[in-house]
Amino acid sequence: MRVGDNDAALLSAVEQLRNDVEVASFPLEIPGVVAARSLRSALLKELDDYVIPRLSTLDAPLLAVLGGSTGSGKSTLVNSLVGKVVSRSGVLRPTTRSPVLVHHHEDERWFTGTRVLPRLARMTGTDGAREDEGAVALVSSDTLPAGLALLDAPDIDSVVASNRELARQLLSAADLWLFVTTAARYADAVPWDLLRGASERGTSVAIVLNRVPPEAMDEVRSHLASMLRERGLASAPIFTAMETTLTIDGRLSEREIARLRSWLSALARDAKARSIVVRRTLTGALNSLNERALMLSDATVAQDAAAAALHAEVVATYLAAMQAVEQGMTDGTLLRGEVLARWQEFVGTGEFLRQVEAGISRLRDRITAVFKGSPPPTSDLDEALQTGVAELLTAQSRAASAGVLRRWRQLPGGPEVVAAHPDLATPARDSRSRVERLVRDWQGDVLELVRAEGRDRRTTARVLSFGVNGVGVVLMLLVFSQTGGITGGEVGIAGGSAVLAQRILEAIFGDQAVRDLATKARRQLLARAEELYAGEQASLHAAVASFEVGAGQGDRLMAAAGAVEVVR
Amino acid sequence: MNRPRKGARAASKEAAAVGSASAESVRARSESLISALESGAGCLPTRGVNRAEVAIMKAAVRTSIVGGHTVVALAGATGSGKSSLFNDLVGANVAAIGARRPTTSTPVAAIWGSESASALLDWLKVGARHLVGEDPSGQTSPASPAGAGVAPAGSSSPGPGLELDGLVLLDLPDFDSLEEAHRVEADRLLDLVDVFVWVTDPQKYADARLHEEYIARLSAHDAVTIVVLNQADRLTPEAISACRRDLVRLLGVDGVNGAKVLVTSAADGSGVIDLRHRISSVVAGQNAAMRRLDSDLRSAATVLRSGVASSEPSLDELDNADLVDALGRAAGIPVIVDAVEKDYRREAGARTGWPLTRWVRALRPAPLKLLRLNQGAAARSGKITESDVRSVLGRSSLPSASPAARSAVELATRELGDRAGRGLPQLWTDAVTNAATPPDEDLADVLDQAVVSTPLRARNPLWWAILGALQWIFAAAVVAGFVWLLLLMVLGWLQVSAIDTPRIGRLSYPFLLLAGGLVAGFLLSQLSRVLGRVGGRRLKVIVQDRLRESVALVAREHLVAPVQHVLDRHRATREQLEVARARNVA
Repeated sequence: MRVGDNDAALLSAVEQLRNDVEVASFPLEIPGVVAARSLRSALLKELDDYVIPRLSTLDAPLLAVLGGSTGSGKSTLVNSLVGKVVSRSGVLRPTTRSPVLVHHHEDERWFTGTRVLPRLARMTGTDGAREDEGAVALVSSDTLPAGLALLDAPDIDSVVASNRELARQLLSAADLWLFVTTAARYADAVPWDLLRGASERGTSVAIVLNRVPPEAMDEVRSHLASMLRERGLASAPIFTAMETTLTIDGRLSEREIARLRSWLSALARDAKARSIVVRRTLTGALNSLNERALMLSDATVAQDAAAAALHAEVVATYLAAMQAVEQGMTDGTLLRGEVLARWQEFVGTGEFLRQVEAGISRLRDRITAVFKGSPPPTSDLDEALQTGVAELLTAQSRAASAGVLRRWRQLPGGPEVVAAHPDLATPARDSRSRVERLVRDWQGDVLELVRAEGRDRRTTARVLSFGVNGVGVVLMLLVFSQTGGITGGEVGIAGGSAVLAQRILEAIFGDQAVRDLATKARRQLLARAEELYAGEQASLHAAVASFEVGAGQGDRLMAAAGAVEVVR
Repeated sequence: MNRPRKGARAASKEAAAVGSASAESVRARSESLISALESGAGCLPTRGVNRAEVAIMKAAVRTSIVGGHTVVALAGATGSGKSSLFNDLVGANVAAIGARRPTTSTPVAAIWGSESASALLDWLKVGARHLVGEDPSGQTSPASPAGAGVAPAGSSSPGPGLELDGLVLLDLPDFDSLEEAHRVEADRLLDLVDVFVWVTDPQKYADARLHEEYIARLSAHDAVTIVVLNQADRLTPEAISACRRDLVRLLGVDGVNGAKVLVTSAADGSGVIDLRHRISSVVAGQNAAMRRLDSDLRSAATVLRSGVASSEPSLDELDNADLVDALGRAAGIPVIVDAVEKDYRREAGARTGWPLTRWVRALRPAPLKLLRLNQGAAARSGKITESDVRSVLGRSSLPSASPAARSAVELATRELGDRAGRGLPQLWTDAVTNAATPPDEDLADVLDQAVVSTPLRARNPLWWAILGALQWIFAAAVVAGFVWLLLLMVLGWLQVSAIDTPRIGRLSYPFLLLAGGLVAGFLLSQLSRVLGRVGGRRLKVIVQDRLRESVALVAREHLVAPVQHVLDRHRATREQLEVARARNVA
């Protein structure tokens, strides 16, 4: 790769990726989401702090960040290199809390603006005595060669969490890591985690092994070198400094840092060497973009999948509820209990039913006798049916919504959705009245059907003699019994009433018409129920939607990362 | 740094504080915790349960190991000088020291005193053992089961008056190096030892891993904790005391209050005598082990405590009217009471109606008989009827509850579960909900039983007998008048000379008897109809109340009681956990 061929195109592609990363979100609390969120913010910071500024100004000075554990002597090292106290050093840990950026006075223009580290405030005119957390202290120095800036970062492993956070951010903005460690520290797990990341990304790294007891120098140095080799950092130069007494003003003696100083000066002087270091790190960063964008895209896919699972739960549960309603309506069970009692009242006494088998013609006569004259009041039966259907619908709807919530609590990301929408747990205040209205509307449908069926037939007179309401109720009764799924002893009671109802209607309309009527009426009721449940499902879906990522987030990330790859 | 007197004073204070834990309190805590686990079975978070089980097991095993040993562990970061300090304390080069990090990879134990610590060390799974003998020559354990490296014999030099008998000192591997295995081993042993000695140094004393993942996490254990700032020789006395103050501040943040930080230098041996004093006083107290077990159990109980609410909803305040209504409808109460009312009217009619037409009513079926609920009638007549057989079998012929009624029951029971489970953690809420929603068939069965066993009739009212008798009298009058008139008619037809019939005014007696009997009978039957309607309504109310009572009993026994049982379990668990985490158990 050669940075510089089509810098503008690359820059705009990276900026596009940055914008896509910025708007990406991972709202559902599913496994791995914490990692995805921190990956997103880390990637965003790195793009802002390093990749974009470096791409836009390739000739800017090389930024070497001194990172390392607390107490490893980073500040002492910077002070010694600069030749004056720019960063406070001391025995209390952690010492450095705000970063100090030391640069040659000619390079000042590169660092005062928001080119690098745009989120951090700048502070000039201090000598490092005052500390302002979250701000970069800018110190100009003539000891440092032009073309190289040193940044003293806070520690990576002390109890102060903000330090650890800031140090990682600063390291991701570095062209060169000057990794400071000590004889007591060099096998710590935390720094090696960071070094492994640097090695994977291809960041340029130099190691400073500080505070080594003279007698252990050879052993520790060779051990460290072998550890670096094992972890793919064989090319990283190691600079060592003995554990010695510091000079009066708290610096290392010049002898200890001479090698490091000359290496840095050589790097600063040699534009070619500097650009090799810069390009190596930049290439590493660009190389890692695609993979990380893919990881974010994968996380988006996982979010989508989790949301889809939540949605699917709603659909499946309500589908089951709908089936239960259908079954409850067609298996005749609605006709038991109160409805049956009212029906018996409606057509006569229980004794009457016992003689149903006695023959259709006699039966018909008797029924006609029952209905002749003033049709009996249908309101009781009517109401029993209404209540039955309404309760069936309400119960299934509540069972469904409670079931959905219960399942959601067990699904990844679900508990947060439930917690964010506490109103879902309680049924809507008007749910009962909505159901009741639905049933009334359906009754209207049934009566309308009866009227329409009776209009163009000679049956009108007969319908009138029963009363439209009466026929409507009988038809409703038939709707709830028609498939005849009743078995065993129940046939005697519920089945009997259904047979009777059917005979009555056949007497009025004829058998084919009765079947059509019943089917039509049932379909209308199911359609209305479906509509009702659809409304309830919509609010559940909306609750999930409030936790969903924007459509196409994954694709956009992939596309943006792909574009960067292409331009490179 | 030589402050033996101060060290000794602190030590005696330590011993006094330690005095609160004993084998009895450990046992009592274990028992409370065990019974809390029993009563809360299935309703406590698994992690907390596992932790509690580990603590209980550990307490059981540790207390069963004889010997008054105190296990003290030197723990810390790599390069802080644990092994050097260990060697200083032992007085021999037992643990390997070196510049190469991490140095120590397996724990090493040093045992003071004559009592055998093999069982303890086997349990700790520490293979490398070094016996610190009284005589300067020292001795090493002859055969250690774990195949330990035999440490070189060293000389122990306990200071005068220092009693270290019963001390088992462990040098742990580091917990912050690249070697993950070291950390695992250190974690394992830190779970088992009695006393923590955190060894740190001026370079590493503020490390996040030491504070956040070890000291702060284990501070909850309230086991004896000693913090050592080693490598003091590397700084000036002023700098080291500043470090020490800062470390004390950090320890306060970790939750270790009033921690004493000992400053030592393994290199020049300063401060080691203080540490020895400190350890010796802990050993002399002899209950650091119990204290650690005690605090483990306590913190396990504290963790579990978050799995129960601080109070249970009271079921007494709950209004179960909705539930009873729903159950009543599922049990068919409206159908039954209607039948009861009709039955009463029918019966009243049969007993007080006009005797000459009464028989017509008998042709109609009794409503209760249809439902096979008229066991009262059978009882009166003394005959065994089908209904008796039915009630013995335990089924009425009530139509089974409609899905709507069943759903209503489901709603009501779920409501009960919701209300009873309010404010409880999820697992308990689930248990409450399960208890409140028994399977459909079970509930239908008990409801049916309840209905079958409820008497549906009242004693026959007195007015039935009176009106019935009057009806017979009037009927007799009608018959008498009719026969008399018939006789007169026959006599007239036979031209027998008329016998004077007594008269009142213009109306003869037989006519009066006939007409009066008819009118009075008619009026009486109207009256009885009115009375029957009133009585039927009253009986309906009475029976409804009885049935509701039975159904309410079912609700109490089969729904509320199981829920109450869960709540009682919750209460028991909570109370036991409170006992287990109380500062003083006894």
